[in-house]
Amino acid sequence: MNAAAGRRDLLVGALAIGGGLTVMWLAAQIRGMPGQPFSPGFAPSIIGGLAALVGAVLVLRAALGHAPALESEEADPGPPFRAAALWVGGGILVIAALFETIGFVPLLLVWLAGFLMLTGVRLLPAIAFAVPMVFGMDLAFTKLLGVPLPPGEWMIALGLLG
Amino acid sequence: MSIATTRRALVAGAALATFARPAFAQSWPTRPVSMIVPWAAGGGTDATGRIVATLLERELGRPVNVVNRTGGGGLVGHTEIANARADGYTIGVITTELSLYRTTGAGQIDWKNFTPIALYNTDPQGVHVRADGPRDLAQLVAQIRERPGANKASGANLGGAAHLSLVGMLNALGLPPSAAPWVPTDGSAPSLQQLAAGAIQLVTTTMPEAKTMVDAGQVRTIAIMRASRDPAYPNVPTVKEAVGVDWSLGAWRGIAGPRNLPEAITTRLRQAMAKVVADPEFIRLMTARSFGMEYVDGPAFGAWLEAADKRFGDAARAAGLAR
Amino acid sequence: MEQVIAAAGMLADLQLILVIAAACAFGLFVGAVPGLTATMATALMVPFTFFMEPLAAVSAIVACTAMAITAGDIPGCLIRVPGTPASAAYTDETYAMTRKGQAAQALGSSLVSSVIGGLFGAVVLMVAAPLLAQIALNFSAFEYFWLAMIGLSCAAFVASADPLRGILALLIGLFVSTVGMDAVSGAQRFTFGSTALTGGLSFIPAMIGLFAVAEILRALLTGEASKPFAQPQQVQGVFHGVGTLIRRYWRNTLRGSVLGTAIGALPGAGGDIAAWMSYAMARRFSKTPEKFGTGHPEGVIEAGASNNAGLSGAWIPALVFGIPGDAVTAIAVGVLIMQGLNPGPQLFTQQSETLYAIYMVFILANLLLLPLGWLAIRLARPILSVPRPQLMAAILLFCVVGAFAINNSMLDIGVMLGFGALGLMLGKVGVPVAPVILGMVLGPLVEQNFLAAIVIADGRFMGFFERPIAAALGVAAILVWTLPLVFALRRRGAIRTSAASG
Repeated sequence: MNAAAGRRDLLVGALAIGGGLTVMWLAAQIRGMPGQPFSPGFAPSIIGGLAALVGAVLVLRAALGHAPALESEEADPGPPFRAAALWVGGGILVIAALFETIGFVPLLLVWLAGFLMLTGVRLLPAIAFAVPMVFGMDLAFTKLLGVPLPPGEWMIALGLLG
Repeated sequence: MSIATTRRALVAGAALATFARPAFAQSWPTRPVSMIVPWAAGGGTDATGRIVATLLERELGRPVNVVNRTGGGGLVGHTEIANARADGYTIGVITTELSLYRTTGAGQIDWKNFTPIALYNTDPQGVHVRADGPRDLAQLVAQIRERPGANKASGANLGGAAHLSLVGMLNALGLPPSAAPWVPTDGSAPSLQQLAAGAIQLVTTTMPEAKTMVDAGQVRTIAIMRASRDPAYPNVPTVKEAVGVDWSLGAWRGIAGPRNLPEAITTRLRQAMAKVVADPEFIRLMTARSFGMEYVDGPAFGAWLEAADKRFGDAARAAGLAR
Repeated sequence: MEQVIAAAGMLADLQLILVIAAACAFGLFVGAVPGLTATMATALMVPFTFFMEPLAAVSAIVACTAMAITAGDIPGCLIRVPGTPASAAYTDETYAMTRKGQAAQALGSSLVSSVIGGLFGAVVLMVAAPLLAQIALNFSAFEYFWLAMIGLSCAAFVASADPLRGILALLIGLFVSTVGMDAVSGAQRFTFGSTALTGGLSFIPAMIGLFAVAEILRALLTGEASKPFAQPQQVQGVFHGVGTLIRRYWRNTLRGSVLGTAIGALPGAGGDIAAWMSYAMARRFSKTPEKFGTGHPEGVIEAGASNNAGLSGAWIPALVFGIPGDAVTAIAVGVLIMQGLNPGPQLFTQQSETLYAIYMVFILANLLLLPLGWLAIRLARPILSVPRPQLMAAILLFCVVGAFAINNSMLDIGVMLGFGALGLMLGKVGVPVAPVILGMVLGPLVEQNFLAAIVIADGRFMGFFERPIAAALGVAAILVWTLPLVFALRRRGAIRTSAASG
């Protein structure tokens, strides 16, 4: 019943109420189908309503000081790798957007090598690790499993494949 | 997909496109071909798709990889095929639902978004009841007339081909859709399970989908929605024979590519499919699972699809399923 | 008896043994790769079965799936990427064991309990398949609805500290499951006009994001990434101490096997719920429930047994009525029919020798799990000594490939990132992520069966209690959901009265 646990419950509860009400509002706008007793918006509005209810209980619990204590986290062990975390998130977005255009091999090579360097590996070892991993994966999927990974339209256009 | 297409147009640009063109005009295919199946692994479309892919691979001399792109009642996969680059490296299986998307308002694509290559399968819809259910269709219809709404039917989702086949038949009999309310499920397997469990009274679905349950003696087919009896099921009467109204509807599956597929590639694919459907291995595998084999080649398949669109559209409008 | 001997004779064929061994190796590989599923392994094998003898074709699929399901636990335990939605129930438990230096014990005990569960399921399949299938066939939308409601209650048990936050996570998963085109009415929900979203959000990329990506982001942001990944591993041998554990928790193993087989035999629902229910049961009846979530083998043993027993269970309705229990058996039924082994009662009368041979393959495949699983664990263990940056880079590579390969969709890579961010935030505020997966898996089951049932019952809610099994399950579901609430209120009341009087 410490103060931090109460604050956390308050935050989660408020988010749950907000999210739940938003879902209910969105669900109310889903058009139904003639002849169906329940519209397709029925389930989401129940879910949203329950989420708001759970949120309210959490807020209430925090206000009454009944929040269960938190599991203690390990002591902070070192300096954070914020740049690497950003590289991971941004990289996944870039991969999702350009996967077909640029292709699996070039994108993943740059992403993994960059990640390794941002977590303290030097350039050569980073490349030495990324190259066999990426090419090996491409080979395993495309040749062994018959599940094609995008070769990249640029690569095809430049005649590097095929 | 539309975002990707726009970006592709921007990035690839005219210069790269000119590089790309001669590369595939020479001797398609030079790399593996992806075949999109808009339904999940384990279903009938997946099964037939994998048969076709395996045999097509032999004809083309390059791997043909089956890619399941599921969701949205097949809409996601169909859209994916339609939006794919027209270079022959992405083709797909198109199915009955394509004839319905526009009419029911589920999606904005129809057969005109595709380059038809070959129809390879059609299956008639059937009316199935529990083993201890009504003796024949006439008795079932009498039950429905006597207590409208008491007999529940199922087969798949609302507004799908199975639903249409029931509502169309009721319409032909002069009955409203509410005479046998539709219990929505996400496929024929759960519907047949409901029937076997005694929760509902009839299921309309294609003959091969009901095959295992019929063989297991849990379910009986009382009518087939076909103009004449199917040689594969000589003992099953047609709807016309059973209750005297004309009603036939089937499900179909074919191979198609995105619109504007280059002529050379389309021809190559059509020739390959012509060999596939004549392959004894194809006949053996399709017969084993009782999939009906009907083959219509490219341009004729286009005309066939146009006619199917009209037939399904008319039926859906008559049944009040159009939006 | 002569059938059994004839069946054994059919198995004593070098070519068949080679096919089984190859299928095992393939299943092991696909299952152990994070993000690749048993369903995918099976689907990829289908074209090969076209050109095999009937028994070889079925054996290949049986062996491959048993192996893939069990191997799916390995990445979950070592790097927090669950292999199947079922294994998401206990991924955090095994991962906690790995970080305490007990990876070998975690993997060894889940392997052995899986084998026991699998063997149990195979034996039940052999002796009682027709009977159990007859019962399973009585399940309609009503029964499935109530069963799914009971399954949902597991969220409160899987949540370690606080059931309320577990339920909140469950609601997030349930909401996510409604995104996309509604399978029942065809209406678009929360797609905001995007065709890509029409297909909904798949749980494989979501699972990879919630568990693996979130864990990597967390390690990077807390600075933990500069430390070695796990404590030095204590136990050397894979099976060291496992015997003691299985003996101590024999009740859990048995209960998991029974529940797994029974629930697995229900078509379309079983496999995914069984492991969750078993994990929840283990915790509910444990003498030390407070140890759950901190790296305690009890729940892992019960859920592991349940998982593999459910795999055999799913074949019961598949063989007897041709109704597939899950995606894997759906593919298998297709293969059976193509090979002329039509499922149904006549398979039991006319082809009983082949059927017995198939049963023996089940037993064989489960026994093969021991040496091959041991090998896989031995091969996988050096992963823990890879330097942390390289290990994280390799996990990221697998994450991207796994998220993409399930649907060949670029959207899924973005979905993975979205869930990674969600998982990171949930972790920060102490909300467990596993119930999100449970919600995503069970959401469609609850909703679709409710909508089907309400039509059958002409809109009357009492119709949900009119079939005997449905009534029993319904009462159980209502009790499971309301009793903890009543107890909690009474406890609080008791505290208040004692405080007032004292």
